[in-house]
This record gives sequence, C-alpha cells and structure tokens, in this order.
Amino acid sequence: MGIINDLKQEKNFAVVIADHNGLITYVNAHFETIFKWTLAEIQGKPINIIIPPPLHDAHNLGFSRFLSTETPTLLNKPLNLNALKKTGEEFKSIHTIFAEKLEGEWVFGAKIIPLDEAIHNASQ
Amino acid sequence: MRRFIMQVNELIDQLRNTLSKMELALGTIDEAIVWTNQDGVIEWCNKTFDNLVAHAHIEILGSNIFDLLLLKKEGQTISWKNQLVQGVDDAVNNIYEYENNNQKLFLKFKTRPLVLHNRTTIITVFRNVTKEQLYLQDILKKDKLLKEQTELLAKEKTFLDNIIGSMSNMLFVVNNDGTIKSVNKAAALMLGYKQEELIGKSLKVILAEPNSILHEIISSKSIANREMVCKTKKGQIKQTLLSGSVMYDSDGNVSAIVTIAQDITERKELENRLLYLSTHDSLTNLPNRAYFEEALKAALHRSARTKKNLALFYMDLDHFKIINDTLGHSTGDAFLVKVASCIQNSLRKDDIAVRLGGDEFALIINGLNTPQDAALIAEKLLRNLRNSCSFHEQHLNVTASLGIAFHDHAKEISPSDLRKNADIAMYKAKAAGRNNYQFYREQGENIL
Repeated sequence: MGIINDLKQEKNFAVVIADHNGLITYVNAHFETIFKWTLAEIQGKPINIIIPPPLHDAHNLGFSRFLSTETPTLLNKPLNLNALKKTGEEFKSIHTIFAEKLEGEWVFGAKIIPLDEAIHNASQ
Repeated sequence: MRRFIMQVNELIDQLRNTLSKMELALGTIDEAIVWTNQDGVIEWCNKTFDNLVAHAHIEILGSNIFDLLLLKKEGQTISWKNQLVQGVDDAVNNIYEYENNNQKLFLKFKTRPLVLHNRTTIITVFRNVTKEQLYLQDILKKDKLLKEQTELLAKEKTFLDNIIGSMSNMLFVVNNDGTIKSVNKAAALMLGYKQEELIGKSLKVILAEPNSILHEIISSKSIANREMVCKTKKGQIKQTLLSGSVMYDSDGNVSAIVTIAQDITERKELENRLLYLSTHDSLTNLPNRAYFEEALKAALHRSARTKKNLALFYMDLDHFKIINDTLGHSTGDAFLVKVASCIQNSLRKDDIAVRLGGDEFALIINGLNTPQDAALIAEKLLRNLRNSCSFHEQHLNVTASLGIAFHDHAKEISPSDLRKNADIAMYKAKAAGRNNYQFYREQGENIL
C-alpha cells in the first residue's frame, strides 16, 4: 500500500490528508488533540484552515505550481512551519508533506509534529 | 451538478496554470518582489528575492522582512518600517546599502499596499542598483580625481608661469617651422614687443637665420650657449647667448623647440671695451705693442696670401725729450695725441699705426708693389708732420726719424727679424741727421 494509507495508520503523530482541490478528507486522533478540530468539523474544509494567513498565498501558489507542473519542491522533507489551531493559536511545528496519485488524482498527506513535542521526543 | 463541478475544476486548473506561469515569470526578472503584511511578515517572494537575501524560499516565508533585510544608509542600520507601511513612491530616489555574504549591495525599493477583504498586503519591489551605483561612485571618484589633478595642474601651471614670468632670460617656444608659440615677458620686454604680437610670428622677426639654428637644435636635440644676434622691434641689435632643446610628444615626434636667450649685449660691450683697452694705447687711442705683434704676423700672412709686399715703419720723434722737459709731461702727452692723429691722417685705410711706447711708433703699410711706394708714404708722413702739426696755436717744427723694412712677399721673414730690420733702419735715419727716412738694406742691396 502507498504512503497515504501508511499515514492513515499513524497513531503517534498528527496526520492530515487532503484531496487534489486542497480540501481536507481525513485527520487522525492525534491531530484532533493538537489542533482542537474534530474530523467531522474539519472534513471538506480547505487546508488553509490550519495554515496561518500570512502563508496562504505561498501555499496557494506552491499548491497550484505542483498541480500544474507535477514537479515537487517541498515534498518528502521536514519543513519548519507555523501551524494554526482552531483556537487561532499559532505554533511552530515540523511538517513533512507527501503526495500520491490515487485513481488519477493527487492526494496529499502531511505529518505534523509540534516543535516542542519533537524536542521532547528527541530528548527521550 | 457533476457537470458543474467538472467545469469549476477545469476553471481552477486553468487558474492554477496561469498562477504557475506568473510565479515562474516573476522569478526570472531582475527585480526582487516580496509581499508582506503590515508587520513585515513575508507572505510570498519571487526567486530573485530568494537570491538577494541568499535564503531558501521556505525559510523566507513567514520570516520578518526587517530581520531578514537589514538596510543601511551611509553605514548605519536604519529602520525602514515606516517607508514600507506608508508606501514609497517611484519618485523617491533613496538608495540603501545591504550587505550579504560580505558583499555590499545597493538597493532601491518601492512599495504598493493592496487591500483585499479588509486585509492589507504590502507589495515591495527591490531593484539592485549596485552596478549603477558602483559605476556612479567610480565616475564621481574619477571626477574628483580629475578635479584634483586639474587643480594641481593649474597650480603647477601658475607656478611654472610665475617662474617663466620672473625669468630674466628670454624664452621662446617655437614650432618645427619656426613659428612662435609662446614667449615670456622678458623676451617681449627686451625686444620691445607685446607678448601677443610675437605669437604666431616667425622667429625670423627676431633672429637673422633661424632655420639653421632650429635645424641644428633638432638634429643634435639640444645646443647650449650659442652666441646669436637678436633684433628688437626698433631694429636694434642685441647680443644673446642662446640655448635650445627639443620637446617631443608621446609618439616621439618633435612637438616644439624651447629656446632660452640671455641678453649679453652689455657683457659683449664690456668685453670689447676690455679687449680694446688691452690692445690700445690709452693716451693716443692707437693700437699698442700687444696688438702690434699680432697685427704684424697677420700682415705677413696676408702679404704671402695676396702676393703684395709690405713695409714696416719704425718712427721716433726727433727731440721729443726737449718738449717734455721744457713744456711738461702733460703738454708732451697732448703733443703725442696730436702726432698720433697726424699719423693716422697720413695713412691709407688698410695701414696700421701703433704706438710702441714713449715717442716710438710703428706703422704697417700693406699692399705695396715696390719700395718706391713705401718711400712715397714715408715722405708724405714726414711732410705732414712738419707742416700740419700745430699745437696750442703755435706751430711746432715736428720731425721724426723713420726706418723702413721693406718686405718682398716672395721672401720669408719672421716678424722679429722684420722689426729688427726696421729698428736698424730707424737708427740709420737718426744717424743720418734725423728728419729723414732710411730703408733697411742687406749688405750691397740696392732698394730704390
């Protein structure tokens, strides 16, 4: 099975999956804990909902560029980015974004580890 | 519904394609474009901006532009938040310094606020003007250097002009063809011209034959202390000591000839005066014994060369001692002056009369054919002395004893032998009762 399916099995880190339109299709329980969104609430919402507004344009352009060119620039490598909780609180986190074509359409998945959690894990 | 969704998806795809092209295009231009919120948080930038700040694109996104781009003015870091928020117009020509990787860049920027859905985005465009600024700085530096050099040259020119102006010697700068390019004050003053009158004139107006001297200077590159004659505007002659040298251009061609002439007229006059005094008797103004020696040698040479005979007269005034003793030495001197004048009046132009000392005179008579010619001159001289010498309105019976040494040009004789012969002949005349002339004769020789 592919990476998207593997991400769906992940229990230790927050996972979010979006379709080729950038609409959220799945989040795991860890995500719900960190971001304070339930799957029911967030499903079908654009992925921008967890991205701080200053990064929306960059996300939109990057997302469009990938879909137009299918040339990845940021995929499969950890990125230090701010993320946005339902409460409006921003926090630093490490994002690793993956993409996989399923039934002819791109599906995107991201593993998100809050920076303090990553530091804590590393110190264990 | 499904068809509608497909149409929307198609539109979205087209928009995404357009956005991708726009982003790519914006990444290729020279201007660095960045957009931020009002706090300076970077929301997007093009590739040129990534290169400008030398950071990965993902690191730039979300960073604060004021932390990322430390702008300076004249070496001092400045706060440019106000400019960003309030907007900077194209007309504002501020140039900022920015250092990155030890490289100093010069930037200009302009900003435009964009308000969408009550949210302000500030779009800032940076232009790297380092090349232009460095070029401008280089030009300004060169301009400053040029000004400094011009000032220095002007000072040096003034200094040189002052030196040339204060020179007491004449200075002429001329072309190859002798056209005067420049003269100093001294030259104009000494020659009676205004400086501008001489510019453009030929050196001929000053020097008699300038071409030969110019040719000599050019061929030998320089000459020194050549005595030359200069002519003033009024036609007066100035004796000068002329030195000259050649100036070359960068290609090695003769660009000008510089001549310096020292006015030595007074010196020459003094030299001539000293020469005259050393060779003439101060009482009678007749040439003296020193002159006579040289004149006799020259006359003998001339005789041999022209194949004309000559005669040397030695003349001693008869009883001159009595005049001195009875009338006093000053009267005696005045008498000698009168006699000298009488002698000169009796001689031809080419003849030379010399006072040997006291009342003794020598006369070199040139261009004779026969001894009879000498005899005629001797007779005339004695006659004139007898008849023409009046003194203090009293007629004094002046007589003299004259010894003649006739020299045949075909024979060789030394000056001293000729003098000796004339002396012998003179004593012969005294012995014969004075007031007569006698020829020197070799034993058995018949002169007349």
